This record gives sequence, structure tokens and C-alpha cells, in this order.
Amino acid sequence: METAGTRSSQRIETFVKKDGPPNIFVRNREKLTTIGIIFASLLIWEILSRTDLISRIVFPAPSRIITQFFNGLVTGKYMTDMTITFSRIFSGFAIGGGAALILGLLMGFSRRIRKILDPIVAALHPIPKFALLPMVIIIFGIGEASRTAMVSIGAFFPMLINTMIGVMQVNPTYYEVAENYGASRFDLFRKVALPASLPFIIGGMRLSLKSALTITIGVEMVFGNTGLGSVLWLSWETMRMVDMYSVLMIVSIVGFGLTWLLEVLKKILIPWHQEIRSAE
Amino acid sequence: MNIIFKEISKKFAEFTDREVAALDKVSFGVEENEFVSIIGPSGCGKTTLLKIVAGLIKPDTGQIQFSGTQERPKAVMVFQDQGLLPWLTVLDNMGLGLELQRVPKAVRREQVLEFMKRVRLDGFENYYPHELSGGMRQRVALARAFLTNPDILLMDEPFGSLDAQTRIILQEELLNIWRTEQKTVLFVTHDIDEAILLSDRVLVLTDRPGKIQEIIEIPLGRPRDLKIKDTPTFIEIRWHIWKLLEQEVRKELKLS
Repeated sequence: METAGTRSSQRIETFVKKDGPPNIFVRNREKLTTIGIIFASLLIWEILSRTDLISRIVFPAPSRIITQFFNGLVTGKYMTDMTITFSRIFSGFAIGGGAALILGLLMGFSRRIRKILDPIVAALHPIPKFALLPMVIIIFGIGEASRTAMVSIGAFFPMLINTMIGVMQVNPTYYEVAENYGASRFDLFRKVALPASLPFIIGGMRLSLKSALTITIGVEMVFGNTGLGSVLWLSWETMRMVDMYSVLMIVSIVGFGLTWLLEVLKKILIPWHQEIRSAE
Repeated sequence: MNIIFKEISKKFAEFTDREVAALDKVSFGVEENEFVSIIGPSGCGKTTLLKIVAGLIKPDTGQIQFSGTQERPKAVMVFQDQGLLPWLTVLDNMGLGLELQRVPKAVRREQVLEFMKRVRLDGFENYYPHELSGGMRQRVALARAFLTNPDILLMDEPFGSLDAQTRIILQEELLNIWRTEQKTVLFVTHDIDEAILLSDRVLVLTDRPGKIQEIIEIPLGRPRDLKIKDTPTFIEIRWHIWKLLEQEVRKELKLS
């Protein structure tokens, strides 16, 4: 509360703060509005779909999608495909991301290695990775090897570039501190470069996993047979839209799961780190 | 540890085709356990001089003599800030010097904890640097430097980023530790009062390239405290140093 009064030539401003915290609805006004918008949209969709104002084949009612989704979870209908998709993401991430981690650390740490390899990376990085699919199939055939190769390529570049930048941005004073106490070049790498670049490395892992997920789903759509991507594609081809939407929900949950995993990793690996996020 | 600098010169390549001289034939000597401050305009090569003693930079020409030793003496540097590694706790930061000298973990831990108690940092061993105030961080940095028992202590504006009150307290703390753990100290600062209060001698450098302008003896007894700043001698020296620096700063600002 603020009141201002003027009497002759003086101004008095009085302030009284209202006691007690505002109630729960006032405090979470924005959050509640967000939830409200989501529910309102779903409700409108539900009504439009049930009254056939929009095609119930293209846009099946949300209640049916959600029922199907939980059904799928309970019966384990999507379990096999989900496991396959996850294992493709992780094996691609392990191969591509792992190679990128080693190479990125070396490129960040050694000016010489960076000068030699940087032009090559700069030339290969802008290629849309999915465009490599025909070439990869020619080389690796139409089996699992091609899928893994594609996911690995997708996971490689974001990890490489983030790791390299992570090492390059290390404050030179940190190296001087360690060097001053007699650190060898290997000490500088292991005790300064590596821990100091961890926040960027984890940022790279996040982008790398995201890219691995995208490529995995894409490759599964093209190859068919197995994985969530193939289920998505098949449900479109057979016009089972309820199935398609519920698999879409599962794919989103996989994405959320990966993000959550990295948040956990961040808390374990870099508890000292304050919010400086790597650029996306 | 007694250090003699003979005609130390250093140039840096600023761009590929241009060189900037940082130090130009600097010669002077530092006595065993002497506290010498180096003061001068920004960019006059004060930090470069410290890094040369630390072995982090090699001069282009010149010579440094360390008395009484064949090996390179242990010269430990305390930085203005960011001298603590943010991913290490206070305990690990303080033990870093010992760790890099391959002191076993258990021994290290014991020594660090004991020293922390001595400088009243106990209880903070599991804190990360970002959880401490700027003043606390510099106390840790200072303690770490003393802990490795160096022959020479090199301080690069260690209190430069602290507020005026914290700075005074830490200057006193430094004098206290130094009194019991005598070391040869080279102390770079911008702060004239700080230089006089702490030092036996003050080295005034010129604007870039750094040359010695004057070496000033501080004829004040020890132990010293803040009150010394009001004595006529102190005031006279402060004025003298300011007059030396003023010309250089004006030159640098193109004001003269």
C-alpha cells in the first residue's frame, strides 16, 4: 500500500506491506494459466472430434489416444520397440559420441591437432546427416550396421564441437595455477582441461542424444521392421491414427527421459557448476 | 631466497606483425625475506615480471640469479581472482600444490586440515569457491600458497578485486602470516597505500615498456598496523610515489 499526501511543501510517502503470503492460486497464476490452456485445447479438440466437426480419423479424440497410450503401457505392446529404439540411441551415442569426446578433447587441447583437423570438420559438419543415408546403405547394407552408423554420425558432430569449444574456453589462469605448482602437460589435461570443460561436454551430450533420437526415429521410419519409428510409420500407412498419436506420446517421453538423465548427470558430475549453459 | 634481475627484457607479439615491449632492461635485486612491492601504470609489465620469476614466461634477454640453489626455487603465485579451480572444494584447492608435487592423499589431507585450522578456515573444507565471498576466496588462495612452503611468494594484485574494507583486513592477515612464515615476497599492486603499508621497498615502474623509475625504501618499523598511514613519513612517501605515477598515467592517457 502506498499513500502520498502533500501538505504545504512537504511530501510524505508511507509504505505498508501486506502481511501473509498470497494464496496458492495467486502465487501460481502463470502455471495455472498454462495448464488451463492445455486442458481447454484438449477439451475443444475432444468436442470437435466427437461431434465430427473435424475428421475423427485424422484427429481422433484425445480421450481415445490417452486410453490407447495407457493400454499400450499396461499390455507392454510397445515395450519391445521402445527397447530397440533406446538401444539404437545409446549404441549410436556410445560410438559416435565416444569418438567425438576423445577427438574433441584432443582438438581443444592441442593447437596443432586442431589446426590440422578443423578444416575437415568445418567441411563435413554442415552436411545434413540424413542425406548420408543412401551412401551409408551402400557401404553398410540394409542391416543393423547402417542404422548404427547413421545414429553414430548424428551423435558425433554436436559432441565434437561442444567438447572442443569446452576445452578452448578454459580460463588460461587455471592452467597457469596448475603449471605454477609443477603440473606436467598430462596433469594440465587431466586436472584442468577435462574437469573445466565438463559443463560443455554435458551440453554436448544433450545435443548429441537429441540428434541420436531424431536420426534413430528417421532411420526406423525408412527401414521399417522394428523400433518406435517403424511403428509410427506403419500406423500411418494403415491409418491407425490413435496408435500413431499414442506412439508419438511415447517418443516424446523418450526425449524427456534423455533430458532428465542429463540433469541427473549434471548434479553428479558438476555440482560446482553454476548456470552457464552451452549455446544450442 | 635472494633474487637478482639483470637486464630483463620481454616483448609480446600483439598481432603477427607488431611487437609490444613489456619490459625493458629491468635490473634490481631482492634480499632474502624482503617484501618488495611493484607499482606502475596498467600494462607496464608488472605481471610479466612475476610470471618470469614463476617460470611461466621466459624473458627474451637477461638473467635471473637465485642465490644458494642450483635448482629452480619454488616460486608460488597468488592471482587476483580465479586462482581457485571452481571444480575443486576448498580442501582440494588448498591441497592442489601438494597433489601436483605427488604428496600422498592421506598426508595431504592431514597437512591441509591442520593449516586450515591455523588460518581459521576450518569448517569450509567442503565448500566450492563459488559458495565463498571474494574475500574468503582470496584467504584460501593465500593459505594455499603458504601451505606449499615456497621459497618465493609472488602476488599479482591479490586484493585488487576486493572492496576497500575487506582489503584492509586481508592486508593485516597477510602481514600476520608473513611475520611468522618469513618469505621473500614480490607483490604487484595498483594501490599506493597498500604498497607502502606492506613493503620494505617499493619498485615504481614506468609506462610501457616497463623500466625502473625509482626504488623507494620504506623506513617504517614493523609490526605495522593501519595507524601508520597517518604518520608524516607515510604521507610523504605516498605523495612522492603518486607524483612519480601521475606523470606516467597522464602520459598513458595522453593528458600531458
